Amino acid sequence: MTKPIRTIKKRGNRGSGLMESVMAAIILVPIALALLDLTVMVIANSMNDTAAKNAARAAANQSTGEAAHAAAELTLKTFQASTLVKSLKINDFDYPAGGKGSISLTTVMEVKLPVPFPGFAGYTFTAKDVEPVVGTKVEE
Amino acid sequence: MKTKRDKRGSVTAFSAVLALALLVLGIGFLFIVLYMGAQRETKNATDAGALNVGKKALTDISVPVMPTDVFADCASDSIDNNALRDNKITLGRINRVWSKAMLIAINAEAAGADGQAGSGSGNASQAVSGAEEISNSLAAKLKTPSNLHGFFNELSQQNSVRMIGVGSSTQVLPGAGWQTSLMDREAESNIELTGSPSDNFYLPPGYSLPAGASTQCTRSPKPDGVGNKYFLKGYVPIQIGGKTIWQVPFKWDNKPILVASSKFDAEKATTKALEWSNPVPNAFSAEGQALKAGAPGEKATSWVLSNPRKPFKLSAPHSFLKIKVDQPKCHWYFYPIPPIKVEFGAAQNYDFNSSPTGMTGTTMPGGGVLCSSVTPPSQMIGLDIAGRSLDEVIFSLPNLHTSETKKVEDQMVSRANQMISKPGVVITPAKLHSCLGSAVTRLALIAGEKNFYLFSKDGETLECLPKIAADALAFTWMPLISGKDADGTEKKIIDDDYMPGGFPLPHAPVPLPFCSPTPLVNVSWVLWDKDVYWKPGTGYNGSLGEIRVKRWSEVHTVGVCNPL
Repeated sequence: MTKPIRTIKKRGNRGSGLMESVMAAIILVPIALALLDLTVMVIANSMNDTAAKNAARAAANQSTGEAAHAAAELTLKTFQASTLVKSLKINDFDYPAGGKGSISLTTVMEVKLPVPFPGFAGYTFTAKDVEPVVGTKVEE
Repeated sequence: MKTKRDKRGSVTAFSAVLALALLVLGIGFLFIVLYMGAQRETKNATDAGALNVGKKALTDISVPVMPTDVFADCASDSIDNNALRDNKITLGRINRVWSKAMLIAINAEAAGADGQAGSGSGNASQAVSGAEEISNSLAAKLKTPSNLHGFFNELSQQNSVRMIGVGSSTQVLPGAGWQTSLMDREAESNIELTGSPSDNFYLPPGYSLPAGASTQCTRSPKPDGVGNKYFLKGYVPIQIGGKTIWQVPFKWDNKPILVASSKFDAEKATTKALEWSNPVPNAFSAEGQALKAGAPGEKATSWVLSNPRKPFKLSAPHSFLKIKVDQPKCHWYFYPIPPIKVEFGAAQNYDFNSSPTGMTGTTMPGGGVLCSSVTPPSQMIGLDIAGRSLDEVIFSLPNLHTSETKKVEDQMVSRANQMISKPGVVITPAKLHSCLGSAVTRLALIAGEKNFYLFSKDGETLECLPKIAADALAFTWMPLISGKDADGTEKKIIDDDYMPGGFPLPHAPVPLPFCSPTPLVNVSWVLWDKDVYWKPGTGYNGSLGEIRVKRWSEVHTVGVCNPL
């Protein structure tokens, strides 16, 4: 009777690449996704700043508070809602009495992150802009 | 010797490097984004600050004037002449000052052409010098950047530059970034002319505005509401009687706006010189710097073109035209040797409150041919003024001298328009006659009033009232100037306009011995007469002139007798 000869196979290499890739992915994918979220947040913040600026400028060109608010709202409507930007609205609006002084406007933008992390699925950005009212004539 | 085990762990190492690279790239990207965001925030804050500079430069930088100064009435943004003045001339008001000086110079020039300049020419020179002095002071203040820094910080600091760091703000960066420019050259100023070239802008008769001194709105497309209005041209020398007048251009109904640096730089006085030695600028550049903990961060420059959006009409706001009615008198004339007439007996007064009234003249010995004496019959005197309004006293019958009457009307209409500050309002001859013909003037004349003031209390409507009422209605300014005389010299415009004042009445002269009155020729008749004098005023002391009306009646009595 012959004893089976036990051969030692070199299995060490096989599958190790896969394991390493999985390990790398565990590190890299969250970093990449976090970067994606960060990019979205930065762009959203910039959009919110621009929205506040444009809305305040439009409002500052009006001669009454009502017209100023309407102009600011109209400006914000040009910002299209998307799957990422849930809402953009005026949070605070201050038109000086008689149009004397400066207008202060705050916008709030709710952003849904493309890759939500546990406990951090979205972010709310706030932007404030102050502009001199130029829509009124020199006061008498 | 290579072994297969060399590959083991290579993916891990690669992943580690990749992760590191990703992190570095991510952080780098974040920094770039923060930098760009900070730049944008700084620019936005600088824009807001610059706009505030363009806005506040119109109102918050001023040159003081004394309440008694000739231009004190221009120290207001209101068209209402009764509005209180704050004795400050600002960028928004400087064109009012220059245009009033221009109006004074025009009036002096027109009076000089008629030989009635008086002291008007000297006053015009003083007015232009005064306007230039105010203008130079204002220009110096506007060209001093430190005067504008506060306006910039006021707004720029309120705008967030959080991408630079928490607690950071944009503040003034003093230096070469603060400049001025003379933009919109040859565009309209905020001084509107009355009417159009076809009616000579209602300027004094015989005077024509220099070619190129006026323009219509230069905005393209033309905004609604501006119509065919004419304005003085900005940054163009306007020559009036050897004096140079300037205006700062402010396009009609434009707001303070941000402009491109290329346009701003192209119109700077240093780039493109102006004849005006010390021009008042209408555009400003402002430079700001976003700081964090005292260390420089970002900086930005903005350029703004100012505009008060407040037009005024070419006017002398606190001004008046005096109208004086002389005491009406009745004169008695006789014809001892026809056609030579002789006035005999004292002229008798009659008045608005007692007319008409029967009057009899003095008997004139030898007052007719072969007459021992002639006594005029009782005549009804005063029908020429009874119940008349001031307008009728000046303009109505007798009115054979129509061209002279038109001259008087033109002078008065021109001066009336010089009192109006509200753009678009034109005092037409009809409006003038309506004002002069009011029941108030009729009643005031009956009450014995002889001095009237034509003025505008609100810069929009015209009033004609006795002095006491004018002083009361324009209490903030009229009492200070109503005693001033026109600075020109008086000239008779309507010279003895006359007409019959009724039907001839028969009378019976006393004949010399052996004579008897000749039938049908012994009659007495009344003539209504009128003179109108015009004394121009430049408006330097508030008086735009004086109209003096002299109304009188003449009773002509012819006595003729023939030998028996």
